Amino acid sequence: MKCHSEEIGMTEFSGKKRVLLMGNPNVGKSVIFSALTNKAVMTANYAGTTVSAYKGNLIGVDDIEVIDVPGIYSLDATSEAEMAAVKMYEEKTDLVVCVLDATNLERNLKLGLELRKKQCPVIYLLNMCDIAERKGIRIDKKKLEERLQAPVIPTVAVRRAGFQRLFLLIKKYLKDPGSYPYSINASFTTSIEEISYIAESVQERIEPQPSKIDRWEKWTLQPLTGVPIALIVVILSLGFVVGVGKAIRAVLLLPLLNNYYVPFVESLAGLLVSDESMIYQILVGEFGVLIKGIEWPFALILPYVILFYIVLSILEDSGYLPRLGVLIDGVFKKIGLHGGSVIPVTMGYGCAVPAIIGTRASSSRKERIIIASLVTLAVPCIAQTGAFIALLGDHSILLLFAIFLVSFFIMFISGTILNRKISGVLEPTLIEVPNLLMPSKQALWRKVWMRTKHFMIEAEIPMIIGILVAALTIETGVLNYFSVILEPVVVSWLGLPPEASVALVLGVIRRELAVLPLLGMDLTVNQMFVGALIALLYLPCMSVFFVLIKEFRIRIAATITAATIILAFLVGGLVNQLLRLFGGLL
Amino acid sequence: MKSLYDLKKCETCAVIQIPECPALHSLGVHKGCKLSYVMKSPWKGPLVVATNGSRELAIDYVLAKQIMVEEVRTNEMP
Ligand SMILES: Nc1nc2c(ncn2[C@@H]2O[C@H](COP(=O)(O)OP(=O)(O)OP(=O)(O)O)[C@@H](O)[C@H]2O)c(=O)[nH]1
Ligand SMILES: [Mg+2]
Repeated sequence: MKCHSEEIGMTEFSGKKRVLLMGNPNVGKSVIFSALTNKAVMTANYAGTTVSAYKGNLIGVDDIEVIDVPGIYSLDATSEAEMAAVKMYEEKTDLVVCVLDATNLERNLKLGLELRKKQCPVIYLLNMCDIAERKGIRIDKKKLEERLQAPVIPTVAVRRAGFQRLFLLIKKYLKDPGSYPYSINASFTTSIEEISYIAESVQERIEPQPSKIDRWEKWTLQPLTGVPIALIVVILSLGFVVGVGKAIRAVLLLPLLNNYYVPFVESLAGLLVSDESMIYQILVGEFGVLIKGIEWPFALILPYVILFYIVLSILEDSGYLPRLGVLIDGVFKKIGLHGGSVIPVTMGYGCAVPAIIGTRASSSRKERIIIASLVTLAVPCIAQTGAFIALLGDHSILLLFAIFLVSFFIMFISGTILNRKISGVLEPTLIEVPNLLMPSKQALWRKVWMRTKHFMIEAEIPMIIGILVAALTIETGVLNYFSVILEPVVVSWLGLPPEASVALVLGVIRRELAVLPLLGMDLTVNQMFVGALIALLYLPCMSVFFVLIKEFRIRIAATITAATIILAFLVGGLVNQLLRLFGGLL
Repeated sequence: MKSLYDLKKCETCAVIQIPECPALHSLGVHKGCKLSYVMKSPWKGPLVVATNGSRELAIDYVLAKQIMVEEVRTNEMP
């Protein structure tokens, strides 16, 4: 996930002391990083949230920097992530803060012991103590300190419990490395037997009464209950985003816009320039920047963006997504993906950029390319979905469903083809199923705010540029040229009115701009459906294109892009011809 | 001796033979470790087992067939 702290390269040096925050995936490192540095980074309840390292200064101390290292299982350097982490470790490390998951101590100890065996001092955090308690796991901190020959601090990262001591120790050990009171002798081993021995000797388990959440952990995994739950989750999520979004727009945003804002800017523009002039049209005309530049991003798209990110954040933080991944792994295999890929695909319904970056956690390059292609091609981002809701949903909710059905169908077909065509085999599935957690309210709002802010920054400027381009091309008559050139395609093959070519032009800038211009065009139902279909498949937006280049190089980025254009016109045209043959949708 | 994939409901087993797979090792599945059945996912999906009696892990059925285990009686579980 893109975010606001600095993503670091491997060879960056500063004169500062360096604290490496290391540990297995999904143990709470990023939550701890945020607490130590006051920097916002993405956190979520599944392995592989952080895919590149982030750095920040320890709060209030300028010469100590903390680095959030992507989660790894050992220092064996068998995976790319591990190699990167080892390299980072060897580059410069003054202190390691190793985060252990108290609910899964034995597995966490492997990396834990390996880190202790190295020369650098280590502070251990025993995190998720609240969940350990829920599961009836008790860990003897004193004994663990003895076995590890290092300080151990029990923490509950989401509640920031235990952090005071951590701050203190970090400052103390870095100021005076001699004050680290422990040392290990030559017989210190990291063997499996030693790990099991330590884990067993410091832990005590009692079987607690299964809590409600423990029961949900079972139900969400068992197919008999899990499949209905999955369906309900999808329907509820959709219903929440579409229903509440429409209500907010109808009750609040549209009245505000139409009754107050539009008359206001119109009279304002009328005061400044004559309402016959081109400038007036560009400001408040059909594609007036002052009107559409506010209406489209804020009144039309933003409600859906916020609502979707609320849903996504709940799904992420609860740990439900990997469970869904386990359930549908068998189906996903057929299109060359692991069940775990349900995570980047779901993220793609928000925005393709973090989804594509998130594929770094996937096991193979083949899988990464398939996910990136599918998300770019057939998964509408939330901004585009918002535009679909305005175009189709206001007409008939069935049309909206139809578009999503077609999108699933195309994903399935293209996935199957890509799976055959791209060389390489799929590694066997191995999914770590996280504990189900109750998402914390603060974490949720922080994430929703982070993503919404990002959307506003990322979307508003291109959208205004797009609207300006539209206004200019229409007002200056340039659009007529385009329309003439594109006419055989747009009118004869796709069955759309000639002015719809403006959507195709704008769609280059952002995905939703391939839909929004259709709103005011008085289209028939058939035309709406075809237009939406083309927009769905058509070009990735600029930012996605650049991410594709960054992650896969230009050749693959260009291939994916070309495929999207060809498919959009092919499928759009075919559907149009079919609808004509069979008399249309209505 | 049987494969992990043949594990039945409520059964717990100890791993005695395991294919070379670093990812499996990282996730805490090694010779001697105890796994208990949680569920089998449909459509040739993975087998879900609990390691150390708590954390759940979904293992591909192909991989599960290559892991050899022997049953242990549940009362021997820690
Ligand atoms: N209940 C509880 N939840 C926690 C605690 N610490 C972290 N979490 C949650 O655990 C999940 C994982 O936290 P992250 O900080 O994203 O984990 P990470 O170690 O950075 O994970 P990767 O980036 O995937 O390696 C998040 O949903 C957190 O809200 C804790 O002490 N108690
Ligand atoms: Mg992280």
